[in-house]
Amino acid sequence: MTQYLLEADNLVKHFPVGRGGGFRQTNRPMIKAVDGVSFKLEAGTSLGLVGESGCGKTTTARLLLRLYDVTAGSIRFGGEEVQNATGKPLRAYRNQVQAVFQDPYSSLNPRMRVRDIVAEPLVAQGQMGRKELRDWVNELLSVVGLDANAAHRFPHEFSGGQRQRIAIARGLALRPRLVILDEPVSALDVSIRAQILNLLQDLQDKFNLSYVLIAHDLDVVAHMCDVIAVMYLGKIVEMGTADSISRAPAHPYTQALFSARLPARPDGRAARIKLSGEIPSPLNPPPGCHFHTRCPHVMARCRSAQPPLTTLPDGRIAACHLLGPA
Amino acid sequence: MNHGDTLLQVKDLKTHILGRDGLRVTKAVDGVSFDLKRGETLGIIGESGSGKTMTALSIMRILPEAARVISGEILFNGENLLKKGDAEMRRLRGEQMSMILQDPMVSLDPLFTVGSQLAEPLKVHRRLSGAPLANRMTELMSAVSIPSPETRLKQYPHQMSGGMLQRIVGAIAISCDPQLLIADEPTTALDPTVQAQFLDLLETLRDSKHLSVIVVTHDFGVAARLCDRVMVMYAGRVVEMGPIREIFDHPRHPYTKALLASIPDATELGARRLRSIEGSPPDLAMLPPGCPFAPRCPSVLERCHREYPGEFRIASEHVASCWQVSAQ
Repeated sequence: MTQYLLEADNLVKHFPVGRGGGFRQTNRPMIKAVDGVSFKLEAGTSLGLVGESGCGKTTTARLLLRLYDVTAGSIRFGGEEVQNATGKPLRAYRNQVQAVFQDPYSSLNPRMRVRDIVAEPLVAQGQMGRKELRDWVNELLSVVGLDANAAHRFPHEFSGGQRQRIAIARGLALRPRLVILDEPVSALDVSIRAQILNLLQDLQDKFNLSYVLIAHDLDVVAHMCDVIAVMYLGKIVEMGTADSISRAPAHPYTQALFSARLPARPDGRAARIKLSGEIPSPLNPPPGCHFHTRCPHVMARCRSAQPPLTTLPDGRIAACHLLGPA
Repeated sequence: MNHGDTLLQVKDLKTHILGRDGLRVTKAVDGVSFDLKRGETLGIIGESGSGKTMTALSIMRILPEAARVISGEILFNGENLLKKGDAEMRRLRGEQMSMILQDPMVSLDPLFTVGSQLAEPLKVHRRLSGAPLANRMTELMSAVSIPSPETRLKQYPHQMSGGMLQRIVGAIAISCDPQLLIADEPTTALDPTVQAQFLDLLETLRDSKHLSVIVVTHDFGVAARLCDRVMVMYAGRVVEMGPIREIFDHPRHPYTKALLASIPDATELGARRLRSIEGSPPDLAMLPPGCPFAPRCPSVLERCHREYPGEFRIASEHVASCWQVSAQ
């Protein structure tokens, strides 16, 4: 049996919005940002979360980071349940799960020197001596491809790509096993993106890291990840190997999403599946299959019954009445 | 007035940004020349700081205060826009030339209904009011495929999604049937499916209104989707320009080649490493004497560090500024 590093089981996160619901708040309107998301991640592999804004991918990442408390469901890390951990077990979990965010201009404190930025997680944890700490910071900087004298400088002295390297060094300071990458290259210049993606892959090999990668660029996700999960309105609609999902998407939403990709070449204009309408509000998701309001293959059944996630012959899972048992 | 096939001609444009101390001069655009034919779509591709947006803003004459056009000519229908007075530019802008910016949340005023913002250019330039104004607005809303226009026109920007707002911005831009439309990163703020919808819309508008379009983007995919020709900029200069297929099939400048090779492509899985470009773009206030790409160039020659390469013609419409190209 495979030992998974991370197992998310039926994760749910609802946010209350607006007023109403009475004194006891029992009927307060809820945004179902994440609504029953499950996945497993092996050590040293990468999971990509894709979907349009509002699909719940960032909320899922924040649940994994324990920045939000789950409404329901469980997160198992190395076999231990961590979704309700507090105190010492929570700190131990957070040491092993780190994050790199989109914008290295806002994620680094402009008043701190690079060495203090990279060392901060270690200082907070407080288990390293000064000499040991300095050596490790220098090693981290060289691992991410920065000069040793970068340590004494401030973030404004660096370009976007170099800043993202600093953020990555900080993310690695505690020797985590899982790193959450939320749009790690979308704020960077095109000529810099490949550098950072290559660096992330080298680090993954070197430290046997697992990644949960969120990116709107499907080509980046397909390039970086072993498994891709496609989300729509808080649910996973399809999940499978990056290869199967990007070559032959099965769910109509995945098909539409991948067909909306920009062409790699001027004549590579694939037939696009046009989606009508807008993403419905997660406050009031449509009954039945959430995607039925925009689906080109909608059937009567889709409007009333929610399709379950079923396993397809090639091992991927998808939630669609067209693909399920007839 | 007809000036043949060419709508816009930019000749040796130099736009510099002066520092507050007056000493630091950032050469944002440093000698850019190109033509735009009627009905043609030209892509300006570059990274941040390449001068692509500054080129667009120079044409519209809406540069930030610190930026100045130092020299060059911008001929629009044969007339030099740089010689026009402010009043005349105001008459041209929004009527004969208009612009779509990246983020519709920023380009629309949150305090006015989208209807009043759509009406403004029609009132100012076309002196429309009453029923003709209302009809024209409904017509524009349907041209950008927004359902139930009467309701939408009464709403404020925050009541609509980003994709819908960008379509409103598109409607405002084409309201007076301009000849030139400049779109600066028009889909960067949008989701992929919405981006695809908006690019479809731009294409439809261009073809139905016979617009000439300049698309400023960092994304080769957007250019591949929309453009006839592209111009690749680096550090304020044009490094390569040519028909879109030429650029994709036979890029000649090392920067263009490297950029195209560094883009991950989901149809070609299995390549574990991407070809990356080392280093980062230069500081435009402290440019090296030779070719600004030389420090990052994989096929750099000794000469590149000394002299900026002139423009070398590869095919009738394909040019590149590189000593390597000239040596071949």
